[in-house]
Amino acid sequence: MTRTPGGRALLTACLFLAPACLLLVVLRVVPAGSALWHAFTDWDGVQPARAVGLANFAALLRDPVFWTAVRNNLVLVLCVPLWILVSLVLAILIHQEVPGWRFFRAAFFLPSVLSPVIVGTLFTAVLRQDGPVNRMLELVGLGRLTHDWLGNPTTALPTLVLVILWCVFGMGVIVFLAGLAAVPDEIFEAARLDGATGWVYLRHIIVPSLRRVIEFWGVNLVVWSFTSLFAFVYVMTGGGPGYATMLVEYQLYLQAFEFNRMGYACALGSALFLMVFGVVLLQVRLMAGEEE
Amino acid sequence: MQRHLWSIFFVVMLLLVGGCSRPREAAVPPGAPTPSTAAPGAAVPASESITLTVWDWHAADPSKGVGLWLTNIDREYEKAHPGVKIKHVGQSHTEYYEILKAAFAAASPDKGPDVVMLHQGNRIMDQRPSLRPLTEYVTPDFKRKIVGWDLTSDNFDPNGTPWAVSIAVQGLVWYYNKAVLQEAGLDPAKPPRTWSEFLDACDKVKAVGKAGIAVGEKEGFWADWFVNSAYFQTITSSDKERLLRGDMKFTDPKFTIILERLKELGDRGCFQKGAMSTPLFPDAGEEFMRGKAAFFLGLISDVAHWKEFGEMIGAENLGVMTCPVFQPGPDADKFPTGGAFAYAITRTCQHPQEAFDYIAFVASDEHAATFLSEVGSFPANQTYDRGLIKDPCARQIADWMAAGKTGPHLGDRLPTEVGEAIRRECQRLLSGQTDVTGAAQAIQKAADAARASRSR
Repeated sequence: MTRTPGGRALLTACLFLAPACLLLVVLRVVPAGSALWHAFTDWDGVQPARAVGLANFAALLRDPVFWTAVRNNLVLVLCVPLWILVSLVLAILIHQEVPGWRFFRAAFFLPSVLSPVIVGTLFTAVLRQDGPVNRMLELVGLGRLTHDWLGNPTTALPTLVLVILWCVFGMGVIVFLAGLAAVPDEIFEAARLDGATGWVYLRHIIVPSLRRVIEFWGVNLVVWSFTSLFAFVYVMTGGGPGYATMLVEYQLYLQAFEFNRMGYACALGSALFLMVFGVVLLQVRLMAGEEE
Repeated sequence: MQRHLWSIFFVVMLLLVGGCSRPREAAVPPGAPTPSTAAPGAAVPASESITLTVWDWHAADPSKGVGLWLTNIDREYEKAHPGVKIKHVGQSHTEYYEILKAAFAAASPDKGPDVVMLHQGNRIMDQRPSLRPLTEYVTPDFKRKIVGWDLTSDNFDPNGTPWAVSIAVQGLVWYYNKAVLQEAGLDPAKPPRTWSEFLDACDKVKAVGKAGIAVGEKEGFWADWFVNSAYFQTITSSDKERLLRGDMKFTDPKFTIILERLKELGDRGCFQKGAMSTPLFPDAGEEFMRGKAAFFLGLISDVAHWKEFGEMIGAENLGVMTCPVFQPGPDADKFPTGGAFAYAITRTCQHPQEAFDYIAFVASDEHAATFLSEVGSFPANQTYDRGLIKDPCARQIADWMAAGKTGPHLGDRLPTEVGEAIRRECQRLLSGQTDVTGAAQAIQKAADAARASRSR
């Protein structure tokens, strides 16, 4: 094989790829396969696993907490357009160099570099019953609007959504600014000369120009909303009050590390993977269909 | 070039394979032979120096309280046993069992802990596959001195196989701020005893702009404590056994009446504003210490207890009582004990005899006395002199314990999932997401599921 130039090139490519492939297999494929296998077992993480067939999945379907968590996760997915829209509008304003745009570009990005634990702790203090938000409402004569924002089941999840928005929108702004920078200025110039403003400008000029970037960011946010909000929930609400802010990934943690039900947690993980995969597939299909 | 590529490839492969090829020891079922190289009881030659790794959550802060007490004991032990070094590793209390589980799964005899701190009750029972039974080390004399064997032994039977040695006694009592009661026009010398007196007191305290009870229900622990503090009034010890076996349901009126009383407290506005999002530690305790509330359902040891409160509001201003009585009965004025910490030896420990010697040293008569006098916590070793106790609240608690006015903490024997269901459903009850019947049914469902899961 190595005697021909093509064969040598192939061997070289394989050698360069091997470490990455090996790491991928060892750190991703094997754990994922192991989790899938354990989803069909009764396992506490220490003693040998015992095969139980589909019992964990059957229990999952009967588990009301799981369905509450799925519903909460879907609420977060429905908020993804809001998270995109806020970032997009702010990116356009910065791109149009509104007064102070340099400051805002840096300021908006700041929350993105903060750890979710810090953000969660910060907002837990800010949103307390005797915290600054309620104090401010009282000061401006809106005392009737004061709330136990994270302790009330009707406001806990929406509050969490807004905190996550605060944390994530800066990164979205940077992503969209990068996308806008790649679009030729002539397009925006021509649109402005033709009198396109406001919604028309956004709908017919910006969105088509940034379609790929919006798709990328949308898919990212959807995956993120299913798999990366653990720290916010852990710090701010613990999934409560009751199950008001319970997410599938948080339930997975409870089952695995609080109740020692690793097998059931693996089934939850497998279900979570299928959900993310299904939702992202649907999202990509919808976006592709719209493009056509 | 090609030779370089091959060299790089082989180095990377060697590193990867070397890193991944560490043999993972198989988990050992309870009672099976352990991987120890030293036979239990074998003395360590004087020339050999051994290190005992001790994991706990108190050592994370060695500057005060239990952490400081343990640090001093470690030094004393090392001085008395020149061949043994104690490596105390303070772990985060919040993620303690996650970290421990990872260590047990790795089952590394040279890197994992030898001695671990555990909460009594189900936390110990859940870890048994990774622990060493202590039957051969616990002598009758040692056993007589220490309480809490029912929470550290198989089947919650004090005569069952012991898995850990209790170091502390924890319990739940109600503290009150005498100054706040006085401000509300109440007699601080006569704290409310009946339920109606208690509600009346909360109303009067509320009328002077303070909260009746300082509550931290963010994690659901407060309501869980309330259930544990009140259950003696309606659930007898035989009822409790039936409840644990599944013969009595959580939907039984004897249990639901406790949820009704809990809801009554919430509906009547006995808690401070924002109680549902307030962490129990330290926020709710601070609310009480700042004189913003009259009552606090607190602990008898470690934190949120008589020593901490007494230092803040003055021992003369602090009173202690048991749960207000809504159903009079012979056990109505009991308070629950349990849920404190114990020390166990891991299966991977190479020197179990030395590990037990260390535990026995920590639990000795001498250290039981310093645990009370220096830390302000009640030791499991009952040989301490009650005359040492100067604090009036602590003396009252000790007198109650001596008079047998204690019972087991219900939560210590419930499966973890059921404890979690009680906490979550109480949160839902207090935040208006469910009613008493719905909450009781959901708890029962969790109990049924836990039983089914364990019988599989």
